[in-house]
Amino acid sequence: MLKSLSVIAVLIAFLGGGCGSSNPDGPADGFDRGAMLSSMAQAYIQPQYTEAVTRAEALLSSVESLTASPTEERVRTARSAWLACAEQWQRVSMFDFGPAEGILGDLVQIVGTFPSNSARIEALVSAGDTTMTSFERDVRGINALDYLLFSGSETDVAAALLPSAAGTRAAYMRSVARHLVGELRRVRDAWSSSYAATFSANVGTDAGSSISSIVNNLAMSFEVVKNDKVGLPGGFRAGQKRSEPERVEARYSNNSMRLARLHFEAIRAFWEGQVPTSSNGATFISIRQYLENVVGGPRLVDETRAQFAAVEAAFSACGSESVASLAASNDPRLAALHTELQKLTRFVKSELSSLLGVAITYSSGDGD
Amino acid sequence: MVVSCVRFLWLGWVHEQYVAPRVHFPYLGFSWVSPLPEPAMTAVFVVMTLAAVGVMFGAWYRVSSIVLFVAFTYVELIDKTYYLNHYYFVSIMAFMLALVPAHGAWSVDAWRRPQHAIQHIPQWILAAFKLQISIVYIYAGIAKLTPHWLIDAMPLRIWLPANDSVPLIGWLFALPWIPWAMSWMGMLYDCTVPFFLLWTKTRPWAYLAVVVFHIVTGILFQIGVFPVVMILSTLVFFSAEAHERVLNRTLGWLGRTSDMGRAWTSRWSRVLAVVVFVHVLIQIVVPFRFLLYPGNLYWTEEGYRFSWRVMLVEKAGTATFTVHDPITSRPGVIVNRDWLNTHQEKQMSFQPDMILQFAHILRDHYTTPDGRVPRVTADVWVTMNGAASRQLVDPTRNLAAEEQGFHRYDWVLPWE
Repeated sequence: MLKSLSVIAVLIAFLGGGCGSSNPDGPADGFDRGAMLSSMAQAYIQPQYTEAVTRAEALLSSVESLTASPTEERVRTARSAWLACAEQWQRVSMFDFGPAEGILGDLVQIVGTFPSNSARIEALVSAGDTTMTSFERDVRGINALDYLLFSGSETDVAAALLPSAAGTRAAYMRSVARHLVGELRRVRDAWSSSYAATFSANVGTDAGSSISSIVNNLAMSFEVVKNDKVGLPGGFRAGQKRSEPERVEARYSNNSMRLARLHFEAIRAFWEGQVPTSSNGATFISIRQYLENVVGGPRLVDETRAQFAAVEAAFSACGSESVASLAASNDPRLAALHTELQKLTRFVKSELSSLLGVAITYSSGDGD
Repeated sequence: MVVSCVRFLWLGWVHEQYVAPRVHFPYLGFSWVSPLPEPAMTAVFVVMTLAAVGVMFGAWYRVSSIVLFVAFTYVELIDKTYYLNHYYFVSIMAFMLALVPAHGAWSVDAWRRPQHAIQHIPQWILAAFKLQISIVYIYAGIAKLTPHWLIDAMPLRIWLPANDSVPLIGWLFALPWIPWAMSWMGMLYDCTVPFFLLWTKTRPWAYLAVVVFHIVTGILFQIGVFPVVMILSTLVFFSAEAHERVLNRTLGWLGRTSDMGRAWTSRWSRVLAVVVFVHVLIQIVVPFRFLLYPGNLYWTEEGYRFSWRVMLVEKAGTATFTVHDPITSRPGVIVNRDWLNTHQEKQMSFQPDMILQFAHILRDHYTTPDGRVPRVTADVWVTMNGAASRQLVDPTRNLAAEEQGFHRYDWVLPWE
């Protein structure tokens, strides 16, 4: 009898480790997650990253020609290249996982941080520091170029780049553009060399599976639009005493609304299965199609679409005004937009992962 | 336990769950339990590991078993985010092991001090363990006697298709009738397996069922060490002779097979019996406390924990808190991620008691230095078993003014 008890002691003392993640090996009769994942990678994620690299390279070459010989014309060219690049960034920033995750932070932090820190940028320019290796993320990336290319008139920007003016400003601008290209290339290359295959093969629904990454990052990216691109400048967050129009994305080029809306559109298009830059209406197997194959999914599709439309309407109501100017005047349309975005949260966050049975954390669920 | 602790340390969960978070969700009445700073928190896990090794080999068993129970329970009490029925089960088992002499034979202690070695313990000690395990199964089975489990096959209709990529058996989970079959099998298994384990004739088959059942659920769900806990602890149902045979065959070379014939006696045995009896009584009564609360148990979760309700419902929520400035009444929305880790946010978003705790954390943070208290409201939408989200909390109620306690929370909106 006592032996039994000893054995129990051993047993209790030896609770084995983890259930482990399953190593899935292909599709079953139901919805084919593997096909969805490879379709997402091939038709959306990889081409969009490639486009981002192309546009960043175009931006770099326009910055190089501008800094080599600064003219107002070349400032204009660089500015439109910057906008094209910033727009494309909205379409890839939701894939902030896999190769986009690095030891020094993820891609959104490395090249997408806003607002930029003009004082620190000026300090680095004066010091001639073009290393791009500090832990300050608000001195690099897309929003640093927004500051460097758009603060002041075209004449001012061109004049500040003349060798007689400072010299180091041109070098700093080139370094930021090169760093941006390098980071985007690194991620794009990782997808095309091996990660796309890894991504498509990881067909489980556990934490760390591809669908878990997609669903998590979609929700997080959406919350960036709501909390950071609209909520913070609007002064809608707890602890804020007033609106803070200076805390917008693309502050100097005054594109905060345009980019926030594109970011939202990109999330909606990816959810829906549309390729935003495609002229022929190309589609891929999307989260929406997956939802249509699960219990309660069709209902969620309808509700999500209805709320997407409500958010679109709230964006349209804001017209051509930037987030910054609406925030500065405490315009109720910005608050209305924030409210509609808030209402969308449950559809893309809790309900989506719940209906798909996707684990969002590594911690154990409750056992039976 | 050893592996579990090492797993926690290895995966960095000690830091992630107990050191890094800004705030924690202690249990009612245990708000004085708080995590230690690094490296003390890691030290707790190291000590726990050593204690588990001690219990396993019966080395300095008294001390080891008490340390294991105290350390494990302390860690569990820090934050209810990480509540799991099987952690509760481990705590109970550790408590019971600390009470009884499980180191009398096949142990380091018996080898160190053979004069204290014992070969026999009263039958009631073993019976208590068997009863405890039976309680877990039977209550888990009773909890499955609901229309949503048996008729709607929820939540398995959500969970099983999500597992259709599991090797070998994955295709099964995509079959439309499988959720119903598995719901009924699960219910019947939980309700009956203790009886089949108790009966000598069916015991080997029942144990085979235990092994298969827990391996399958282990593959399907992210449930950590639970399958192993149950597979191993149900071994207590086997007779002493059976254990002896196996041990002699495998570890016989250690040469400790003789029956020394000494039976365990203690002047405390009567007190012990009373403690164990009271414990079992509590175990039987506690799961029924939900009857004291009105409304849908699965929705309000009032009286849900510590009742062996395992994997019964698929819930997820989105909770948005608004703090209204005490002076200007200006509303400000909270970004949960600024305060909570992913797991905390996920659990808090559909559990009323955690929602209230978080509201109070926010209230205390935004109270002005001169003591002016903000209003805190919450807009909480919860989906249950795939149904459209409904509002869980009255969004007009000031949660800053609501008390935490065992009373019914009337600011929780009904499911019906």
